[in-house]
Amino acid sequence: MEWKAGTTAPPEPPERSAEGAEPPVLPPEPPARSGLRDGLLALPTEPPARCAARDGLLALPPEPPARGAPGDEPPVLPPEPPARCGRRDELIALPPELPTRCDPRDGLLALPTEPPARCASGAEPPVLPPEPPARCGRREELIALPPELPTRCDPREGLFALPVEDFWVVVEPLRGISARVNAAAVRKLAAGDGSVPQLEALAGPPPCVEPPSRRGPLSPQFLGLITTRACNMDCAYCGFGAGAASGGSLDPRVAVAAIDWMAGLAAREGRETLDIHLFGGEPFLAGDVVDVIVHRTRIAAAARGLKPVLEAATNGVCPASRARFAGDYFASIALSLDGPAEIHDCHRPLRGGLASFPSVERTARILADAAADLTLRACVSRKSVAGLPSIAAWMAETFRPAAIDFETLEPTPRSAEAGLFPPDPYRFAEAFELARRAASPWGVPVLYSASVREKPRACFCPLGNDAVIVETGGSLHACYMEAREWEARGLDLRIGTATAGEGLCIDDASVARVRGAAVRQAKCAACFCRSWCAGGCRVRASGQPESGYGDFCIQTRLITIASLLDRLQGSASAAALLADRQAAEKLALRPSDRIADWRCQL
Amino acid sequence: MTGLRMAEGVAWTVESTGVLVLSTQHQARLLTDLEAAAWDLIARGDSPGQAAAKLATIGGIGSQEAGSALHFWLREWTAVGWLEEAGDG
Repeated sequence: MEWKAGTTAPPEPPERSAEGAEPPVLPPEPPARSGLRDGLLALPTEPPARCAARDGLLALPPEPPARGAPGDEPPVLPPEPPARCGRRDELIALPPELPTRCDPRDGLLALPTEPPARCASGAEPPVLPPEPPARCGRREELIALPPELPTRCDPREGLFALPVEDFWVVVEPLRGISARVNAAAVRKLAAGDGSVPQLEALAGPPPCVEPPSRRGPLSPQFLGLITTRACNMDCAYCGFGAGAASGGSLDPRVAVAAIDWMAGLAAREGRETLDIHLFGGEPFLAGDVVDVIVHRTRIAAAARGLKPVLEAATNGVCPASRARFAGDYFASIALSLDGPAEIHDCHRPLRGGLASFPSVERTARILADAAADLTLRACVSRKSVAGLPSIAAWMAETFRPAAIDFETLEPTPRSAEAGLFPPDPYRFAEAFELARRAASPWGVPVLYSASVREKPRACFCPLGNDAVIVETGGSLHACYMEAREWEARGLDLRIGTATAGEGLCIDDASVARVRGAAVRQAKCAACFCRSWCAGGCRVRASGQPESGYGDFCIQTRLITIASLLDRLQGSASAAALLADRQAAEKLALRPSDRIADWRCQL
Repeated sequence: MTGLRMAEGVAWTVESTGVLVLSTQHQARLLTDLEAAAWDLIARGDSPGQAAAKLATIGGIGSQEAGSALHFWLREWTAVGWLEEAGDG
């Protein structure tokens, strides 16, 4: 806690070294885990070590000499290091298949071309574009199903396989399992073969349902309050209508009614926390409303034995006293900072074109020394994408935030006028991975919201999570974007009204309608990311093509596979994949990742 | 009651359970609920009038009641030396 004093000097902030925007010195790569970099033939000689069911390293005894590369002896490898308990990333290598018709020069991955098989649903497989040649001139065969959500319980449902280099990454998102396997393992999994003990964790019994959609009474995880839509900045890419917003602010009595409603709900549901999130515009511009919200939240929480958890998203252009207030009372602050001054001021000028960076940097320094968790959120444009690694290192070293969040620019006519465009998704994914590594010496995680893999998600955003957002006029919405944004896409996300002294009136029919709007897109059915990104923002996805991967999907798929690779193989492998444009495109544009869609030779 | 400011040697911090005020002259005391809110508002520079209006909303009480409560606390805080007259200001 920071002490405020009339004359007592606060403790000196810790000294920081090398302030400024020096390009980061990347740390040396961590040493490769023995065995893991040696391809599919790299099998440990140790018996399997298991910390717990499904955890640790699963490997079969050494393979006989490989069929490929005659004369090559399988490498003698040191034993694997002890398995890390609690991890579900696994190396699974099966003995080679019985002799197949493969060319003897083929590696374990390559399969002979076969006539098209019927896909699991019985539909004719669509004609696929030719894939880049696999090793040894062979092709992996892929059968893409028509995009549809799973409707039946297939042991292979929810199981995905992605070819990377000369091995495969198999992913089971609903159980949080990922594994590096060889082709033999993929074939068995594709055949629904759970007879191999090492594959049982992956192959069954499967969870046949996605994370459930919301049903029953409305149960928001947090209450969102838009204190004002007004903003003191003039960001070139603003998608929140702050430039056109009026200066009106939320009636503090309405805020109190909403907080009391949320506190009652949290207590009835036996929760431990009362979660209140502030959005804008710039929420701290309505300082008097914020004062009331903060103190009412604390009193309402104390009265019910709850812990108050306040969060806010801010542009950081505020007096130092307000920044200290935020640091004292808020559990978490997401501060928009797009990079050093030359980037930030280009993206995010004040009204009149003045520089906002000095004020935002001061706020960041205050929050960095406060009790609140500070997340620095940067919007990435084509202009800034190349500098992401140095931006991440600068942020991590200077502010030591709890996290750095990089999100790509959402194009608007205004952003185009300003010459700002979204980055190429492949460049973004590559730069993101380098940025993640650049921040790691300071222990600062770098996030891209769609690739966060903490747990499966039914919906990416507040819309599908029963969010209740109180607009400045007292209308209750399921989304924090301005109404005109979703109305323009044919959506109605109103769910009720809040009135001073009367509380909240929530319309059940509207809640049901909004829950229906949160259903995942059909094009997600065959994508391995579907349970993590959950299709992204529903509002922005509305009106988009129902099939095909856009930039959002491409960068999400690449960053997610890179994060899986990082855990399975080490960050060098992930960086190498993303640096190879052809390999990245091949992975990003696969029509289906579902293992059930693979026609394998058995 | 106007023209009050935090006295020299007084420090305070925000705790999860309230606001802890400490002065070099007096024992530390944890303020909770509406009194904690009142201290925070005054210590951060609100005038008594501004603070009373906010306290009424925060506490769900009438403005007169809020004003009376704040008046009581201001006198108490002045008596224990946490606040002092602002002088010419």
